[in-house]
Amino acid sequence: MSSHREAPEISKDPVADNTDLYAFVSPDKPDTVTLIANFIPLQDPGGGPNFYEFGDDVLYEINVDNDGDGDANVSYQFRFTTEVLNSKTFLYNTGTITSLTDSTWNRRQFYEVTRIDASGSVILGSNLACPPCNVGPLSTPKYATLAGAAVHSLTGGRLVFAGQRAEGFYVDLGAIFDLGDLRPFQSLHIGPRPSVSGVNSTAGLNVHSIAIQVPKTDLTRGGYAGTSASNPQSVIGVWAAARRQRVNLHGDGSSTWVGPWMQVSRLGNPLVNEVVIPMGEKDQWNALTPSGDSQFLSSYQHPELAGLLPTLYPSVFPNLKALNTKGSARADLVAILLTGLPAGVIPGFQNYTGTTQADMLRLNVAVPPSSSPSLLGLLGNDAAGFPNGRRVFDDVTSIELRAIAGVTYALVDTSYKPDGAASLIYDVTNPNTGTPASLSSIGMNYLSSFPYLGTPNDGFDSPSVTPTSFAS
Amino acid sequence: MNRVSRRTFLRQASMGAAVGVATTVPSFLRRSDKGKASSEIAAAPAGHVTQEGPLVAHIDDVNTGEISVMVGTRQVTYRNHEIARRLLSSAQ
Repeated sequence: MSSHREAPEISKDPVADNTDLYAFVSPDKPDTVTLIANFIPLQDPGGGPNFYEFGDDVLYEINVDNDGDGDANVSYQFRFTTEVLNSKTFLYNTGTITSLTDSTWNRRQFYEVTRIDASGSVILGSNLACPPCNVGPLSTPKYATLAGAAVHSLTGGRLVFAGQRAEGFYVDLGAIFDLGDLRPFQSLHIGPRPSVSGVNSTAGLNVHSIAIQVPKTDLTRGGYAGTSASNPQSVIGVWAAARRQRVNLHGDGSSTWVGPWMQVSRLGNPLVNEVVIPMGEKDQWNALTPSGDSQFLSSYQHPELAGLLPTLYPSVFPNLKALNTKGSARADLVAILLTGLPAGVIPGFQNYTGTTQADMLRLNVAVPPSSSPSLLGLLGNDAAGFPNGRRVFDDVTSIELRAIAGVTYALVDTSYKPDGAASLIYDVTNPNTGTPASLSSIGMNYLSSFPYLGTPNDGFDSPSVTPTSFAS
Repeated sequence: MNRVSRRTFLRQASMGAAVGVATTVPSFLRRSDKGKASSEIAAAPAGHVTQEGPLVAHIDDVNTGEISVMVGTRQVTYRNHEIARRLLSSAQ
């Protein structure tokens, strides 16, 4: 998964588990940037009566570095408060919920947003309502309208939303974790079987999203408007985090947290802590800020997966195998994931933040949204997509599989010829021919406006099954 | 925007997140430096200290006497062999 349950400790704490991070120039409002951090992975939509919610005891953050040192210059913090109207009922809702103020909605959440920079902290909004979870057609019959009311306008032209959304990340989990047995390429696997179509393991599942849309000038160094893609001030680095207080004291039916806020989850580039960082370092990686990432450099230079691909697909990656045998450090992956791509590597594009190696989602805010986006982002000649930030529909699994398979190594060594197969790999659906709209065929439906991630799947109708007939 | 140091930024970040904690923290815990001498701690006017919520003392290293004291979202670490020894003894 992008970062769902990716490390031993955080897999036990889903409320604080940051699963995906998105940062992109808003397609319908290109003078703004949208930042989305998802938490609480793999939600079964029917999981009541205690439906999913943010943690009152968790400090959620979206951080922005605009001077390239891997530390935050701007941070948006989110704190939640749960309110129960009637503690004598087990019900999440005692009737139909038609508005965010209905008394039939028994267990609700509110939150406060704080923006912090060098000049201090400012509360952008407080007592902001989350929407309820999408329980089903009797409880939340007009869910899109209900959730739309939970998009709040803040000062300075900002928008914010926090609540349940449909999972936007698609991946064939079962194939990836069954020894990388990508279904469309099974016939080439070391354990060959006939090739079949990929499966989207996250179809029908939900997450909880924290989304904020802000003017570009809110994020860039010196409040730069982001008008020139070659200007270093146009590039920002983004990561999300969750913190818990250091000590939890369990009492009789209650618990208390004490101590400073300790970071327990972090996410910049997708899939890094998942498949780049080794098992013994994953929890530590989650506890650090990006400025300390140089200590993990060897894992980026020599990713384990690059060594596995020629073994799992014996006759498919001879050039990658030779590259591995030479022990060449993957300067391409270091650039993409740790420093950004300097000018001159890809004509007209850069998202370089300097020599500090820091795992951040780098976004050049001067690159305008694409009118015909490629699911492959920069690999599909679409500079508005990953790894220039990340849009909700970018096929980051296929992009990173291809990069690790050697496609991007030619950017730093022109004598290297990537294997033909490297530019064909995918897991769920072919991104060479797919579009954001075509992803509806694998259960991914996005919105064209904020918060962009789709309406959550409702609990009554998900998963979609045919009811068993009663015997007469 | 002026460059912000990590220490400054974290201080601002915790201030933004820790609503109301500062008013409940005993005065001696407001020191942020590590390794304060135990005599300074002892000099705090204990009779005037108020506390809301639990206070947790964690012996980081009994050999060095390093103790982390936490209340609210604050933490102060100091060294006092005697207190560390007595705390450990009381738990045995």
